[in-house]
Amino acid sequence: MTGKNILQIARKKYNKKWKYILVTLPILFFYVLFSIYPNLKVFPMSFYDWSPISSIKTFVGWENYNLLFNIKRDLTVERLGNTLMYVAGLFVIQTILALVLALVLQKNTRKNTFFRAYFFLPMVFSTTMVSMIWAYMYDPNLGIINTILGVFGVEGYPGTDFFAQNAQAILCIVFVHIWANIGYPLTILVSGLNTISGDLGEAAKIDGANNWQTFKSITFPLLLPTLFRLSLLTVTTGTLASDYVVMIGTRTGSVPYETLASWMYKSTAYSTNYGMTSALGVIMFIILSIASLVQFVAIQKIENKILG
Amino acid sequence: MKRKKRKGSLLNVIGDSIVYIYGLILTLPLFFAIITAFKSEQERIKNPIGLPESFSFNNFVDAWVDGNMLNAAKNSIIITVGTVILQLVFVIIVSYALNCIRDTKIGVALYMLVLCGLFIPGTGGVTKLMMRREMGLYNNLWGEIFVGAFSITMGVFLVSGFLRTLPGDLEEAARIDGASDTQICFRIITPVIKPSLATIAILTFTSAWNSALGPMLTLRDKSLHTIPMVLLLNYSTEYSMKYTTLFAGVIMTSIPVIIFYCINQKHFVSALAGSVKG
Repeated sequence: MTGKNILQIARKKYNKKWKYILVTLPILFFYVLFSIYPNLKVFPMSFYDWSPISSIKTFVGWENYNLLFNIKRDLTVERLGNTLMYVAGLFVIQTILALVLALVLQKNTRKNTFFRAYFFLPMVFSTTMVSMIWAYMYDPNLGIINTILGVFGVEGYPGTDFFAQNAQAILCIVFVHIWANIGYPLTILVSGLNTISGDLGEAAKIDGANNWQTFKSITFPLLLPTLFRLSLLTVTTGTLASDYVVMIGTRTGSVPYETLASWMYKSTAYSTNYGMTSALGVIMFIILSIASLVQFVAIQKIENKILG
Repeated sequence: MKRKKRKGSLLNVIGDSIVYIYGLILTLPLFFAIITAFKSEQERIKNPIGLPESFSFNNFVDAWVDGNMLNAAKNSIIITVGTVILQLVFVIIVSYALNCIRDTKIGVALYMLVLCGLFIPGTGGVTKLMMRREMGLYNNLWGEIFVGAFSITMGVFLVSGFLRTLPGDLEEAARIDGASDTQICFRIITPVIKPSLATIAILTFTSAWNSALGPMLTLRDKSLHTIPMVLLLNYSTEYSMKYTTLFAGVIMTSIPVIIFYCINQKHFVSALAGSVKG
């Protein structure tokens, strides 16, 4: 092979590489523009006073953060608390419920397969549909839950507003969230359980371990990595979940409860103080990043421990 | 031995009852939504939880007319189909091209850039909205399709993972036969990665078809409203909700999706649950 030939081949290869890059660049440009850039742009924009109705942007320094942390401190603290309650409630209740259901429905019998598919069904419903159905269930006057409790003669029903108290309201919304999304953790946990070898459990049984002991010392530790992965996702979805809070709130009237996510959505939709909304975005960005990082490190540690 | 067996069966009974109770909790709201859809508004107020006295389909007609459902369905279908198809094409192109240059530094860097989307929290709703307004991707169906089609993170992640497991022989053989890159990408690789594409199609379909809060910010004209938006915004009088008409609308619009789910149930489960890796 002559030197010229090698050069030609090299150039061809070089050109070819750039051909692939050039094809992807326009798509990647718009991808970055829509999916990454706006989430980073809230950082600089949170230092400006700006609104959707005028094109004037004034630099105001930390003024927006001052608004959130000093002037509206009570509101911010309350909504941060609600968000934490939402995430904690979602995490604890959903994980326990999904784990119990997964343990019962683990084997691939016909009945179990049916129930797994049925519990998964609300995953394809729109959040609108779920919210409308549950708004009617919770309705203070002629809602289903109120009416049923009234029929059984429970005092105070019908006429009870489930959303009158913050904690109760958040738990009610969290329950709707779980109702709609239980299929996801259930499927993950069932496949997690099925990858754990049955031999280990058999061996433990022969050695005289009961069900609880087998679960505690074999199944649960082996399932921990899966549970941690799920928790990572639960925290992210819980923090960003605004759909049910916003929609059920719209349908049932006044909203005393509000999470950071629903607050951010509403101020995007109705407020003109976009500087404050950007600052909210920054705060949520930081919270989510820290939470993900902490969990990521925890997962690594736990996996290393289990794998030796 | 005997005691053990009884204990096991007791556990089974408890487990079974948990499943049945949860099944009931899942079913009851749907059941009440269905029976409410067949009642008149007066009947609902008089007797919210009883069965309807007669099954009339008036509410369904009202829901169809009041909500301008035909138009909403048209909008939903345009947005969903457009987003799914365009996004699939983008995902195929990017995954294929990045797979060809995955040994080069720039190839790895570009792939990392795509994966960034999995880790960066989506909290920039305001800036995105303003950007779309400035770009004219606001208050039109095209804008929804355009923006939705470029969220390729999950798709590229899935398809790239799949492409890595493929042996290079297939591509090599086609190249020797003189096939161009376009032909290899769409004629040879695309049929092979069909399972991954089905997963992406289902994920995009459900999110585009169901999303309501996002489009509420950008689709301001009433004639552009999609089905979930109609369900959220219509069917109320000044003082109260017309739940009967609302649920007729809810049932009417969810039946196609439920049938679709029943037919492709395995695909749906593996797409919605299997694709996300913690």
